[in-house]
Amino acid sequence: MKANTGVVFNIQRCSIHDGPGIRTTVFLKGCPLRCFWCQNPESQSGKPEILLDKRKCDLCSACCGVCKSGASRLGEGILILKREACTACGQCIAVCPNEARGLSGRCMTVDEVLHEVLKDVKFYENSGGGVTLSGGEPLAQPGFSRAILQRCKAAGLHTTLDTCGFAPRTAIESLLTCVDLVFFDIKHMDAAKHLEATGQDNRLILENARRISKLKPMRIRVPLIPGFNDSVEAVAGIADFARNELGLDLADIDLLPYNRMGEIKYDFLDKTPSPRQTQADDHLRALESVLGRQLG
Amino acid sequence: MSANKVIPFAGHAQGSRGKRLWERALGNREHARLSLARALMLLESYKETEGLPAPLRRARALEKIVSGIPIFIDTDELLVGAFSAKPMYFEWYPEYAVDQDMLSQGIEGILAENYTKEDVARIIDYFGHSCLQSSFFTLMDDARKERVREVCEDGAWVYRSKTTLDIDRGYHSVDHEKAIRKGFLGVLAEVEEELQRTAACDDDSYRKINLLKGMAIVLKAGIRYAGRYAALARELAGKASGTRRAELETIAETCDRVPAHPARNFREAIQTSLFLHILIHLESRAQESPGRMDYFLYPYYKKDIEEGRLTPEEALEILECYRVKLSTLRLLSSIKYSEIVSGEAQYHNVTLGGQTPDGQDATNELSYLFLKAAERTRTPHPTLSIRCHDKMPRDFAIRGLELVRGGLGFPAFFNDDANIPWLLSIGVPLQEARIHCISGCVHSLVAGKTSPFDVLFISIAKCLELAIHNGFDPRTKKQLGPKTGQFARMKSYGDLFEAFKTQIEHFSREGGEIIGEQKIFRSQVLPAMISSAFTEGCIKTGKNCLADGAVYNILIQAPVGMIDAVDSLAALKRCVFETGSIGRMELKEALASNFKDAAPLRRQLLKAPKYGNDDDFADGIAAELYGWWWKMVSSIDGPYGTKQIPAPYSISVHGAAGKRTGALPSGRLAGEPLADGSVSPSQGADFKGPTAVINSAGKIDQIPLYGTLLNMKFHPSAMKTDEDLKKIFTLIKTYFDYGGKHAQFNVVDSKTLKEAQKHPERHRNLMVRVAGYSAYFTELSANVQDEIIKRTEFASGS
Repeated sequence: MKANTGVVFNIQRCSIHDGPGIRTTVFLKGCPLRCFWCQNPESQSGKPEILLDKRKCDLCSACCGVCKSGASRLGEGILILKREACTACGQCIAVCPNEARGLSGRCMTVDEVLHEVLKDVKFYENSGGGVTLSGGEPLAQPGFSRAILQRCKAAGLHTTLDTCGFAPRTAIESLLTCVDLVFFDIKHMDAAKHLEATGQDNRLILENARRISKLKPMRIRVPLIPGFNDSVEAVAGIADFARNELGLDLADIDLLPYNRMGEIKYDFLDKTPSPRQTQADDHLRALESVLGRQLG
Repeated sequence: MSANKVIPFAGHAQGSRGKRLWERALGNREHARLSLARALMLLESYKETEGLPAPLRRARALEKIVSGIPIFIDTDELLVGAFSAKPMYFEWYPEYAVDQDMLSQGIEGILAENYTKEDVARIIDYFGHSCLQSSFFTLMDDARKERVREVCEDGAWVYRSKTTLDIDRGYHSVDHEKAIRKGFLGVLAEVEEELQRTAACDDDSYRKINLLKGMAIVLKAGIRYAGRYAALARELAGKASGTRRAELETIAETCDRVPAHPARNFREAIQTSLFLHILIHLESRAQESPGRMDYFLYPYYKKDIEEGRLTPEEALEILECYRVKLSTLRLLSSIKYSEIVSGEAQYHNVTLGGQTPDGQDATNELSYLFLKAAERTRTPHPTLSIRCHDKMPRDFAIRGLELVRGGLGFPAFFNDDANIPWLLSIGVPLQEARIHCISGCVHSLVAGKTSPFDVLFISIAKCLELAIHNGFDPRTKKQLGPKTGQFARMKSYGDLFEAFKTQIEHFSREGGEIIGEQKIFRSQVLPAMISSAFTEGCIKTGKNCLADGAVYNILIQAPVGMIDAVDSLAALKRCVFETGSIGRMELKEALASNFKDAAPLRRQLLKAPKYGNDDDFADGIAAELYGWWWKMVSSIDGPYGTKQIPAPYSISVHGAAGKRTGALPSGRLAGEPLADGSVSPSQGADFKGPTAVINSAGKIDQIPLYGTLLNMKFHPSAMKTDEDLKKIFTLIKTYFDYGGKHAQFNVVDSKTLKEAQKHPERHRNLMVRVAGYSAYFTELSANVQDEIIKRTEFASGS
């Protein structure tokens, strides 16, 4: 795929929690990690995918009629979507009378992305906002990401890169020149645990964190996953790393409480979620206090 | 923060005076009944004054009412006066409209203890045919009566002409500052001086004399009313002890002094303003806004603070009492009216912030205290409006949003940079325009210089329905509008748009004429006496403020379902005229059947571009339609040499009009509420978030429109921190940079609202904002509740 085309699964305007001011967040599809808690399971694969809400499906089989690849077929009281055969052409979405189907991810050009992004320039100007590239993992489409960010910078927009940090050094460095702020996920300091939970160990990630910290302002974002990294020790470990090795303040670390809002999307993709209990307020307070903060 | 938890008071305010008062009022509300005190005194007075000119009849009636209505002082009150004979009771205004069915509808079930069904019968007997509403229609010839029956509320609901006479016309603000500064005696001196100067030599001078005499009667009556409170306070002080005794003595001294004389301190000033407000409401069922209270009370507050007579905490307590007082006004009107204005809409709007005459920021400590008093009492009234301009302290806006976050549904935010140019365009001088207040829901006006408005609500959605059916209304099966052509034969979108415009203009002119006549009629039958005494120009000209006594005279047209029409036009343009994917007959059949067996067709319509998504296709239609509409309305003559004014807002008329509108090409089903008549997207039509909505609304040239209304709803998670609130303010700021006029917010989530529908008893305190005011959700009509739930929830970034 050329650098001026990429796969985007969402463009969220008026994001207010993805960097300074009011922002447009561009979510790029495809991620090298497979975190078991992933809130955007539709972002993992780099290709467009069909989302099927089985609650809405009344087995009318209109989709089967238009499916050229034979991926959709009616089973015993259930509609079966053979994902390996599906080309995500989207014909079935158009004919579904119940709006049970949707498409996650579409190929967009840099121009198309910019067109959408520039609609809210006035809001960025008034709020000190801009554009955030997120995912998935933007660094999984480095050429596309770089092209978008370059164009944003040329348009005078503030840019934030929201990354899991798992990418070759060259991919990161080629991007950083057009990034104003980096949101960097750190999930765990323990390499083995990291590997088990995400499919990759954390060495490259931590190394990238160190590198970026020397070059760009950054914030560390820690998704708090019950039973995985939401212990006082785990958070303290990340805090120590951020302070001692990245030269950051505790105020530069965001703890993101676990939520289950993305769970239903697993079902849409015929995947199985691994739900956990959300953290109690008391527990969140305890974790925030590790960072010397009080939770309101 | 959960929207379920909007009830608690701010921690430090536990047991505050305002809280105690309001909890008691809410308790009283549970078993409040209909008092006949006002109506019976009115009846008695009307019988005594038969044959007298209207101003004198009205003045004498008010005099009798304020002299005789039972009065009370609650054990915690610091401010006195009441809208009814008992706390939270309804008073009746039968001189406006009488519901003939009241007796058969079990009125005794809601009647106050000491009254009987026979009393009601006596009132109905007298006013049933002579009330404003009945007599207006009695004067019409049969053909016109029939026409109104077919076209208006009882028929197709193309426009409203009957319920417009249920209550006094509103959106008015008298000159509170003058009342405080001069006292009623000072104004009385002006009236008497003018009387002395005026000799009865012709009709006009005789009319003027009667009006001035009437003003003198009501001003004196107002002073006597305060005197009754002074006496009661003294009597109660005699029985009280300690702090309360001192408080009652202060009340007595205050009422000795005001409103007769100029106020000397903060408490006297606000008590004057309150008395004036109450007198207006005892005279007429007005829709009066007190205006810029932080501005006109501030000199008194400042002086008291500087001289050590008052602390901010004491001032806050008084403001709390004021809020509770205004929240005790109840609304009883005919059933049809309550369907339109659900949730006991009140129109007291207090304006905060804004500018001085020379363009400096006018925000002061009182502005903040008004916000604080609302936060502490959590009463629904008065609603608060913040005037925004470049010199305002950003922090004030953020504190306002903090109050919004608490779930009260106000303050609303208004754009000086868009509202002042409009005032200039009707000839208001700059320095006056800068001190405008917000009255009613969204209208900026110069207090004490402007007439109350009459309003033509016209259903633009219905006009589109008529255009599609060649002027025929499919619901009532009548040819109501001009024959603008067979839909099946229309060659282009342009043909349809022309037909549509012809329908709108036809009914704008027809309805505008009726509302104009109503304005004149109202002024002749029920001239506003107290309001005229405090409206500049009326004393000098001897004309009342409902007629052309005021300096600025306003009659407005308000389009209902404008955005439904926009979405429908967009769908028609795209699916019928451009792609041709839907046939004309096929569409008509689908609409006739309310999309029964036409689900795929409806899906196509729903998927067509909709206003509110920053899509030029639909937004362009909105801009074009509004652009044509305001010019057309502005060309229609109003009474007294005025032109009619295009003012897009709809209170909750969109519910009533929606019930009588069939399925629309936007995909909206028959009977559903229409969009709120201004610049908010249709319910659920916007899905690209607040910036897209604002960009869409920003494409409409709003400067020529008199007040617009943009509702947005935020999930609490979008308003957690001060940082979030600053971002929300940026949304407002950007909208205002585009020329937007008004923005207001709801922060409840739909889950809470649905729960409240199922269990209203658990959500007695849950407040929402319906087009310009806040009301208890559980008291709204069911279809307005549904609409609020559907309104797209912006859970930004959560």
